[in-house]
Amino acid sequence: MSRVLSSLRLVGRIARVRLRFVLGYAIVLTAILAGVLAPLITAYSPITADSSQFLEPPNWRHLFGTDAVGMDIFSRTIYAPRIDLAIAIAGTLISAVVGSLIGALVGYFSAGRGIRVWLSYAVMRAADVLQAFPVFVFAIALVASFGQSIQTVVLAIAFVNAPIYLRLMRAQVMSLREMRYVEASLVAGLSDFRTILRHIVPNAMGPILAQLSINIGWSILLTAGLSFIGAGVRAPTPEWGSMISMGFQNVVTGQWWPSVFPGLALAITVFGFSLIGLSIEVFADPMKRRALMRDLEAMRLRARPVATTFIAGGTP
Amino acid sequence: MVDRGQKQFPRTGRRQFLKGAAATGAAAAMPGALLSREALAQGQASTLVIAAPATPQGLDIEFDVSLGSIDSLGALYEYMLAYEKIPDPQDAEVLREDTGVHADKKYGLALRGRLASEWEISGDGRKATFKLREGVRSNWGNMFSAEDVKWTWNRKFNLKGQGVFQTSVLGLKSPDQVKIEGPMAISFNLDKPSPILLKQQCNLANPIYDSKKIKEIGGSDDPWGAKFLQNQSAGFGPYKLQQLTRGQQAVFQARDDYWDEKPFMKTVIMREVPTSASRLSLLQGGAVDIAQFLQPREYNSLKGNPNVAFDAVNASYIIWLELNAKIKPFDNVQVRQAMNLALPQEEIIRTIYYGLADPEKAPMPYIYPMANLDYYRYGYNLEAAKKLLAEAGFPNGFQTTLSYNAGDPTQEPIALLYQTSLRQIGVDIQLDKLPAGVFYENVTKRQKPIIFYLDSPWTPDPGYSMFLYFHSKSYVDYSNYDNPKVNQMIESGLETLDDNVRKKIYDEVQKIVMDEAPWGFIAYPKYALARKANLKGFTYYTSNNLRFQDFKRA
Repeated sequence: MSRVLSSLRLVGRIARVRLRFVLGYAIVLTAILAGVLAPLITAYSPITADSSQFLEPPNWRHLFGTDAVGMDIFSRTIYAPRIDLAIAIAGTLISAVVGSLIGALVGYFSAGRGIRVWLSYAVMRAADVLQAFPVFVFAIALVASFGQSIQTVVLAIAFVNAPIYLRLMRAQVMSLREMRYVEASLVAGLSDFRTILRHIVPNAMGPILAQLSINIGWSILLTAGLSFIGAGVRAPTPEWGSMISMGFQNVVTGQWWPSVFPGLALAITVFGFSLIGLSIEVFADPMKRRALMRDLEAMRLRARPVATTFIAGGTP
Repeated sequence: MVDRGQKQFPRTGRRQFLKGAAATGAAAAMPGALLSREALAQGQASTLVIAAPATPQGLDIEFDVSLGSIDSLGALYEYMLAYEKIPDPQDAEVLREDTGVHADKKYGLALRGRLASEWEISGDGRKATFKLREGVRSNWGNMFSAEDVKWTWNRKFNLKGQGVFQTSVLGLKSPDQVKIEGPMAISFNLDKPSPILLKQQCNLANPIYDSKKIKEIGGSDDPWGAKFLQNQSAGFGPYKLQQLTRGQQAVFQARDDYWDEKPFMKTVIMREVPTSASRLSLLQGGAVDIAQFLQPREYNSLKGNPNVAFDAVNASYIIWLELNAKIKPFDNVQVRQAMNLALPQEEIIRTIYYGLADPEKAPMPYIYPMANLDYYRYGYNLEAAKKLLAEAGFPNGFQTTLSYNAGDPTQEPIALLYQTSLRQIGVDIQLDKLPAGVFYENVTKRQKPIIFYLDSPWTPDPGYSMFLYFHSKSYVDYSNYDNPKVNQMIESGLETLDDNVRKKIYDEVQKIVMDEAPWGFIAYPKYALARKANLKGFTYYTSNNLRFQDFKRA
């Protein structure tokens, strides 16, 4: 109990010096909870059309109004994280695992001679090609080839994000492989592969974790973007991008709510993931972490002097 | 990008443009230049600017029936015959073709001569002779003659584009059946009588070409002008093409040497504005005279704006679902009937079309002669639908896919309403959104269980319509419907001249088709036109296209 309390106290203190970090976690937590608890929060089905109440503006029965076929926007907005977050997290995790592993191998074997160096070179050039390709065109091509489904969108996200992790991990590994503890591990008889997995990858994870959170935000945007152009999830699956796409035609005739509410939800959630990424970056970087600690300490000291003076000075 | 066709015309250079701009500026600024200002205003008044979803992809009807192309066609070309115009019964400001059956008129039709000045049909109905109009010149200055008509029909036989359908529906088997009877007379000689021989002469798909120009340009490389006519026109219509920059704009210029009444609009600019919301904004801001193909909701938003008006008239459009008769479970008539009973027609019309459509109650356009709406037996009835499904062996429903066109904003909401309705009878449909190009490919492949289709048969005739969609040999029988009795009756109706007999035949065909429900009957969308309030003269054609020569400014 005291641990929980002290953790909460720490969160409170961090919130006072870096409010944005806590805000990020709060936003993402809210989105996750909304998705999980959606059936308890709203009575309306997110996929049932009701032509008797189409394009109703926000009111007490429909907090965010209804869309062109009478589906409840609030209901669809809070159900959407189930799809958006699931796709984004799955796609990003796959890309992070695959990209990081390949990146670690490429980074480790990029020095020296032989076939491994050539393979590393080839992998990096392949990643260049993949990254040079416009992200959306690439994702659309994938969806066109494998069909319109959630799995395809996950695959598209994994493909377009993998080179990011590959490069990040390669750069980390290239600096870590010269460390004494790596040499010691090899001298102790561990194979290259084991050394990479046991000693290099764990020490290179900081930037990867920071990138992970930011990437989930991007992936949500990519999912929404694909749905917006009709290459994402199938209608009427509640998904922010497809909701914006279905609603944007109404804006010109004054019905702003079908696209504005999912748009806001999308923007706020992506912002939340960016803030989390920022916080991870601070905790993973010793310099930035030290700066945060200094700020925390300064805050603690600023809070104390009144009491200290009172005690030290005594009552006249 | 500049098209090849554009190079045929002098282009405005930078210097010419600056001179023009300076002259316009001076005319507007100088107090004594009132006359010039009037001239400028007159120029604006006689220029028609259209915001269109797309510029013409090609100008040859043989290979291109896209929206921009069909709007250009009626301005660039002339036809043998045309229907008389009558006021639209619902909108006094609109004219429309008189396509009805008139026992008191020659051959029962209200026709007027265009390139044909007189016409006669033999007693057995197998030969039609046309006397051609004298003194008509093409946009290239060549004089019109019987040679042009003969060459035009020869072209259909040789190119094998959509003209194949035009020849076969008339029963023409060889180019020799179109005979030159003199320099200014031509005849069509059929093996069997055809009740649509005259009607087909008005069809937008049958323009008459200037054969001399095309022969001269095409030579032996392109004898039928397929390349030339993609970017250019050679016809006898009131306009000529001045510029075609695909994706941007097409400019048409009225011809001073046109044989009939000179068009009010001297210049027509068709600008490509892909999104309907942008077209609406341009019209509301006064930048264009016409905004084409808005969404029903957008038309409604124009109400109350004194500078803008919109006309919505009953049209030949039909939107329906192809229930593929060769894919299970739609090979079962009862399942197809149940699908119709679960189709919320009225809801769709109210919610998606905002009333700018009528429920589809016949398997052909309801504005066409002999359309019979009495055989529609469905209506929204989920209990009856459930019962039929149970009888068909699907008491718990089934799963299937409904494919729709991403390029048509009305199809997704219709699909969503239908999906919700079908869920209540246990039918689970997955929605399959297809990009426009892929969508049409899928329609023609006929391999989807249910797919949307929006179309209109251009010739206002029951035989023509029914042959297109329900004859198993038609290239447009996308629902794979095949009933030998229906085939035989459609063919027989297309060889019968007596309208009373035809009515009996097509009544029976409509009844059978309605009972067997190869379609999910949705709606007859209206043809709507949003325009500046001072723009008059809109005429509705069954080919659902504009003809620029109709427009005037009040």
